[in-house]
Amino acid sequence: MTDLPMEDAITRAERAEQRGYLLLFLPALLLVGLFLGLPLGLLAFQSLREGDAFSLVHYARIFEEPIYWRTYADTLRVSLWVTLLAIALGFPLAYAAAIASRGWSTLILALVMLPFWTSVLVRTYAWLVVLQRKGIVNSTLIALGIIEQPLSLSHNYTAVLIGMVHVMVPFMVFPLYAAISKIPAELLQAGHSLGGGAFHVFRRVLLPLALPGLFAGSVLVFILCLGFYLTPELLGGGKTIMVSSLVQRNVELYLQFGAASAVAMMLLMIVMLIFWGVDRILPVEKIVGMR
Amino acid sequence: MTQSNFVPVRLQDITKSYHDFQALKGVSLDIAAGEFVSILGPSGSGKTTLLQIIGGFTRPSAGRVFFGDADVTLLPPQKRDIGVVFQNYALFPHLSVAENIAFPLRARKTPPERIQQRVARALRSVDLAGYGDRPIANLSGGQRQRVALARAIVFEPRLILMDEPLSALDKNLREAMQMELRSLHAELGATIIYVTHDQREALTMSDRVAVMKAGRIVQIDTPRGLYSRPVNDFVADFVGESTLVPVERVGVRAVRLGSAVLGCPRDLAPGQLCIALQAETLLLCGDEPAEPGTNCLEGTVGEIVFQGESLKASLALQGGAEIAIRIPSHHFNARALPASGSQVRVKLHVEDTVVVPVTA
Repeated sequence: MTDLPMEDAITRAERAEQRGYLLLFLPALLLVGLFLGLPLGLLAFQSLREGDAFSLVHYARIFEEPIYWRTYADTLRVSLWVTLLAIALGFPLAYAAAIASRGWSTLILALVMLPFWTSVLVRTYAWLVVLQRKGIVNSTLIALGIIEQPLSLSHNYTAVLIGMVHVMVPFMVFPLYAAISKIPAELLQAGHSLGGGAFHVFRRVLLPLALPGLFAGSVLVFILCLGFYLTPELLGGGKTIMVSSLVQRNVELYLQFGAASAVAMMLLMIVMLIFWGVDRILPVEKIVGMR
Repeated sequence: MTQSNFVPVRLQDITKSYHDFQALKGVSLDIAAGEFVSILGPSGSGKTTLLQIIGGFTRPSAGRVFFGDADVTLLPPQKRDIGVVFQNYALFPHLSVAENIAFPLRARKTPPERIQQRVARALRSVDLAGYGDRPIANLSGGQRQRVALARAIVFEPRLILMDEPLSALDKNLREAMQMELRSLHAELGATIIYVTHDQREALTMSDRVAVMKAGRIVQIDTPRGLYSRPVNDFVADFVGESTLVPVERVGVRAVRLGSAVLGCPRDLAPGQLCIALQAETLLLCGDEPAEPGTNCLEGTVGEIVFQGESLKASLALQGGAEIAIRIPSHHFNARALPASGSQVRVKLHVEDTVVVPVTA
């Protein structure tokens, strides 16, 4: 019984330590609570109001009006395409950066980073210039004799994809690079020495081991794409309308804050549903925990 | 194994340069089918580069690699049919034990029922029957080692390459695995090239050992030959536990160390000489006159350290050289143990008197 005071002292010390950690955690908690939790709550509240009463009319409209649910479908489709294209472009880049020597690797990653230092607005206008009827792409292709009439590359779906992929590739490359550079080079050597050709080793060794990065990158890109506003608005020429444009129109043109809130909430719910579904198929912990 | 695919391996004047650095400076090596050859050398001697070239992971700057009569110098690794056991095993973490072992068979499009049979047989041959479904993460170091081995032999390769495969294991397990590798080698009749920096490991398992230094093979010999007839001071220093002491040539087969004249088993090489005094070949003796075929040295006992199976005593020879002797630590020896600071005589068999030329 003599050592009981010591035990108490240890418990007290542990509690004090925990309080310390809590204190460090507090600023972040406040920030998220005040600037994310609270506005989100208000948004949810607003989406359920019609006049001075609670109502589901804003949500009902989303299902009733084709323009609404078609916009959701378009947004999902664009996001999916951008994700796939970002994988196709980002995987080789990430792989190259992961296997290259230090110097080359730094160079590749720096080039991937470079667009980050330019604002999305500037980049989008730059694409507009590059892709227009008499832009550099068309004039080069005509000069080379590959095409006779200029391709319509701007103010359409293609332009939206190009612009969005350009913004999104870095978000795919970095998680992929992190995953691939963690794969020991011997594993790939082993794959080859055991008789695996390039494709076999890619399919059976590299791809499964890069999956956590591929998954993280894809989720990141896809979710970011769902909320895109500027790029599709400017490059799409009004033909490709994303959910964010719908929100903007409801607010700016029709002053329908309730409708805008409902549209935004609906998008949030779709994202959460996708997360939940993906987690059911490919449990995140299992992928991340895989050594 | 019904029919062996194992081939002889011939390296012909292999060189490898990286910019200004020459990692290999003309290495030639002939390995018979079924032979176990170790490539022994300190880090930076080029042994890993040589292994990478044999495996096809790196191309030589010049020279050729033959498997049997076939020139494989330009073949990529996947066309060489080599079972490689990597230093850290390089097991695929996302696959089970059986899937790892099946990998080379799948790559060769072996029919599934054959795969199952051969995986089961490979697992039995490394004493891991019943472990097929386990994930790699759940295996101990020794078990991973066995899986790597099973994966390397399951597709009946032409050659097995091993890159310090035991270095991650603790001492007891390492020694047990050495014996297992020996018997597996005998059982398979495999041509094995084994890279290591551990001389004891090389001596334990190999038919022949190639000692490398600075991109060249300095000596290739049987373990016994390497131990008793090293070609120069580098090999003598690297193999066994020896202290090199400069000696003076006093005859065709005699050298002087301090005041002692020592007989040698063979004619001496030209040039500067030194003697490699191996701690375990020096025996404490009394003052009785030396028997024929015995060399004697005198010195003062320094520190005595208990190391388990033996005691290691330092001995200051006349003339200042400090050498080590080993005394088995059983109690028959306890009475005869010299005290620190006492004057003792040690004898050395002429056949164990290793005198080598000093290289620059």
